[in-house]
Amino acid sequence: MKKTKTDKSNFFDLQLNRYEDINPDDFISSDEKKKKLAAQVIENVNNPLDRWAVCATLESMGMRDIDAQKEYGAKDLFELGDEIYLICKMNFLLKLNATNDSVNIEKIENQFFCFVKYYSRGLSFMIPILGQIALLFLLRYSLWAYIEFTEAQATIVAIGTILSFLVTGGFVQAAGREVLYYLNGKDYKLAKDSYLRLFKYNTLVVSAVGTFLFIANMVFPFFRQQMLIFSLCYFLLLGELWYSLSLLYLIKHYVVVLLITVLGIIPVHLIMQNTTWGIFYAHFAGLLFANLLAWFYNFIWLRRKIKKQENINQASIAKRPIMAYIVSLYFTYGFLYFCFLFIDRIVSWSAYGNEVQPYIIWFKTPYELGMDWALISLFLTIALLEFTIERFSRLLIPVQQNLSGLLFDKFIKKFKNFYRNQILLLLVFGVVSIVITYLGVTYLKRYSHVPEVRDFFSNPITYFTFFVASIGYLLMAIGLFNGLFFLTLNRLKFAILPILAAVITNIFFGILLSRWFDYEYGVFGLLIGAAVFVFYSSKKAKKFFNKLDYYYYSAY
Amino acid sequence: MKKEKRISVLMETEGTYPYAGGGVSTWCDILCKELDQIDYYIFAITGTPMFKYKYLLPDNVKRIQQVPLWGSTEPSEYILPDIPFSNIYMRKKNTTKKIIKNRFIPLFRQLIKQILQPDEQFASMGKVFHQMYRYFQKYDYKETFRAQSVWQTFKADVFTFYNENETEAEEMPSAYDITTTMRWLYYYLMEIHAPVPETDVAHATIAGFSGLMGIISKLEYNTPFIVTDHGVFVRERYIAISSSEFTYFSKKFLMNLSSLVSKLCYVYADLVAPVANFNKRWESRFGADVEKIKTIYNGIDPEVFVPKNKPEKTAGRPTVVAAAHLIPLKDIETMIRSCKVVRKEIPNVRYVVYGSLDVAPDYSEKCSRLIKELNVEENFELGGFHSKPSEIYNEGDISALSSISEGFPYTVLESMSCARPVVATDVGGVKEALEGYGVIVKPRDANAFGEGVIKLLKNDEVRQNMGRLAREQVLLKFRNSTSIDHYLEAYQKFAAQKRNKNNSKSEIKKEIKMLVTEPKIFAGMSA
Repeated sequence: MKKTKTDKSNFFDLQLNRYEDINPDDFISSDEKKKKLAAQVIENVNNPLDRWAVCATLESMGMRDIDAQKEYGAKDLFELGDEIYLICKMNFLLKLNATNDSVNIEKIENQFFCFVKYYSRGLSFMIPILGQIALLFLLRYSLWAYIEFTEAQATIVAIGTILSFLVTGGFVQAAGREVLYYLNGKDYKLAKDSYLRLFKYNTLVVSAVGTFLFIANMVFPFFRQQMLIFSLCYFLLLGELWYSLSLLYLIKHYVVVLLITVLGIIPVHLIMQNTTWGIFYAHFAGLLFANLLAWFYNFIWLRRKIKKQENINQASIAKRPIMAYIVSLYFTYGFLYFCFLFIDRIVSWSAYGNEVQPYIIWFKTPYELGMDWALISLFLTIALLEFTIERFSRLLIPVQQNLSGLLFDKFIKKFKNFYRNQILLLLVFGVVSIVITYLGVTYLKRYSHVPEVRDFFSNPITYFTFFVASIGYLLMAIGLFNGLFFLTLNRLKFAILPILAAVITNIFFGILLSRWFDYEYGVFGLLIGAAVFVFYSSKKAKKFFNKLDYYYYSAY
Repeated sequence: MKKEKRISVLMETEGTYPYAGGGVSTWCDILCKELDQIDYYIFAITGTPMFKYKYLLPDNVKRIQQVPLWGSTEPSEYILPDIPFSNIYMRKKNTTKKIIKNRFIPLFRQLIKQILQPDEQFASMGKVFHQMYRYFQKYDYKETFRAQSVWQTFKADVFTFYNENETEAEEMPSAYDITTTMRWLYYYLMEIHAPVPETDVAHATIAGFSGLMGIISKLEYNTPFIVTDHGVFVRERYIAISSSEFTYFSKKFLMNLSSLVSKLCYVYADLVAPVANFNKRWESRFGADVEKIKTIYNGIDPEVFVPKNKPEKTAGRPTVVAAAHLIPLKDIETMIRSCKVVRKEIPNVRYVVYGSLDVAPDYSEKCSRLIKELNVEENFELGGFHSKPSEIYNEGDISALSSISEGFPYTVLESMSCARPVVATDVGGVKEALEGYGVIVKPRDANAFGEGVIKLLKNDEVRQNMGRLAREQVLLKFRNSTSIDHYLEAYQKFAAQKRNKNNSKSEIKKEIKMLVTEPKIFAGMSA
């Protein structure tokens, strides 16, 4: 312990020189009553801030001027306070050689359980997709897919699905900020209000985009009008479903997500088995049913929570322009994320090559199969991000608590190391995920007698797309990994600029290569875009971690 | 005849009127309702955004400006409700790095210096806050505080301070302390970007953060500033912050900031009006000019709190009533312990405490446990919230107050008005009201408290005499109207002062204008 005298005034009126000059032995012979009183003060406030703190504490203990005079011989309580303060400080100084408490940072063994818990949670995002794949194998159809789709039908569904992700993705991200803000504060009424407001806007925008496309297609008929109408129905129903399910993700009810998406198959199955209406109407009924289930569940859950809430806040959610200001960047990020994820498909499916295709965008099965295959590796990889960000959030405060305020450099160094370790872990996970995905899927080759399996492996474009897209997705995972730190500390622009650059690059190179060579080369747009994403976001991450103390402070 | 302009008062509250109940809020409510010739503009600092008033506001409350310190992502939403967000957005855009560096940081550094190392120059900080206020009328609060340069400045100044002033390792800030305290500054100073309306008088109900608006109003518009101290802010902050779980540095930082604000309130106030002489001890030590301190006691309406016979439910049983929320400051535990003392002498004694059990649920629980532990369930009842305070005291033979800290408690006056003598602890201004009309004991002394209760319950004549005298004392000294008149007098005096000053200023301005715009007259005069 270091302590030196100083000529200048001491920190916060501490007047060290006053008690430094006092011999501790003096106090041994001093009034026992005062010592006892000092001990009581210390018990109440530990190391008192100054003489006033002692006076206030003494008053709160019931001490009055008259007691100070009669029992302690002081002029008044304030004089007694001065004396007791000095005794307290002496006690404190003598005690200082004792333990140096440090805030407990999680032990290594806890990290393992933490990893298992949060990686599993990350994987749980896959559960509904696995449910759909299982249904596809069992029944040949799922909530919005069908093994026997023709390419024309697949085009219809793909356009609707991609549109739904592009338009609703922004709202889902916005809800992730705004609704979660109220949920974290256990303010369920406001959570409900903001959720409903964003639902309204989502529905409005989905309807507006749908109407616009409908009218535009009437003027410039890129598709058959009926075909577009089917696409738009998928767009509307899926868009609403993604938004409804987003609340379930926010409240972490993953099993309910699985249940709803699986139960949605009931009307599909009934219609397919008992009518000749066809897959589209069956899907629409299924999606509508799933939407209703999700709505019903959300409504009941929120109502129960509001009912249980003790002090219902009379406040209203933020005014529209303010809310727009707050969530606009989240919306943009969500939109760009899904843009990046799907734009290569639009680019590749719109590349004619040597063959003439019926419409401007035409579903290409081998390409899609390769992309879907690669997507499995992405899911396995990004599940790790849940663990990384949880660990990051958990470490931020204890690490700062254990470091002197004069040593912010150490804080930054520690988190730079953390970042490096996590990115290495991510790379290892990414490579292993690609290998596992490749081996896992090619294992199915032994079932080549099944026509669908045979078809799957029959086209080299599928392999080509898988390999390029897997690497692209691994790079994208690194970009998302960087972005997640920025999002955690509310630095949205850091996350948006790299992904915007990535989307532009993706489109530019995708168009160039798919038109120069062949349509499947559009996947290089994804790869190059992801590389730009990594490069740009890593640059931002470097800046971010170099000033992590500032970004942490200003995260409000 | 020209109608005289009504006096307007900026009333600054903190965690009280009109959003929360309690003594200070009751006082504000009485003032606003009784002084219907005054227009009130309420400036209310709250913890989080509040939307429900606890009181029915009279027509002379013209406006309520709420400043929630927490719970809002974009503070302008509540603090600048009349400014369209498009303007706020432009403010944000105009808050450039250069502006922050040149106009805000110099002020900010002065503030930090004064917090880290308080000195005798603290009074100049009023002007610093005023300049900050002016800055925030043009530039965005959040953008400014979130700026990297502000954070770097804060960090660097703390760093420099510790390099120059060696101190104990235990008292050094951790990295987290630096972050926490800087964020506190952002939250606690949020009010200074709210526009202050020009009024005739500014009246702070506490010498705390809400008082900053009074200081700014004084410097901006020459508005006279009154501070009413119910409890002593700085003393109460010392009690609360010292016993909190924060680190030494964080506690010290927050306390120094609170203390600075309180001292500024006292220094800038034209009148410091504590509700009890007791408060003067702290006020004078924290910078208030003794000449400017004038106690204005609280008052109550003796027509509302009238003596009545005990109701049937308590008739025939010696009853002690208390009106107090169950919070640690009220030290209900001592009251419970005193019940055990009393029961030995008066086995059928009954204590009833009327007050919310929800304000500090843990403490309520603790009290319930103590009642069981001491086996006084038959004698001690936690009666919960009572909607008619005027009926509480008449239920008992005497009333009790066991607080460890008070200003000038209404409950004592109300009980006296109902001719019920009080057994009370010697805290705050209790003695000033009760001496001679009740029993005053040392705080936290359950035996003395119990003996006081026994003395009054066992001696009917003493009790009844004391009760009668207590009511007479209220009629004589603690009437609502007396208290209100003092405030009205102060308002009128200061409003007249301000108007006179303004009139003379505008006269001078007029003359100057005349000289400039009518050169012919000037020329003629000169010729």
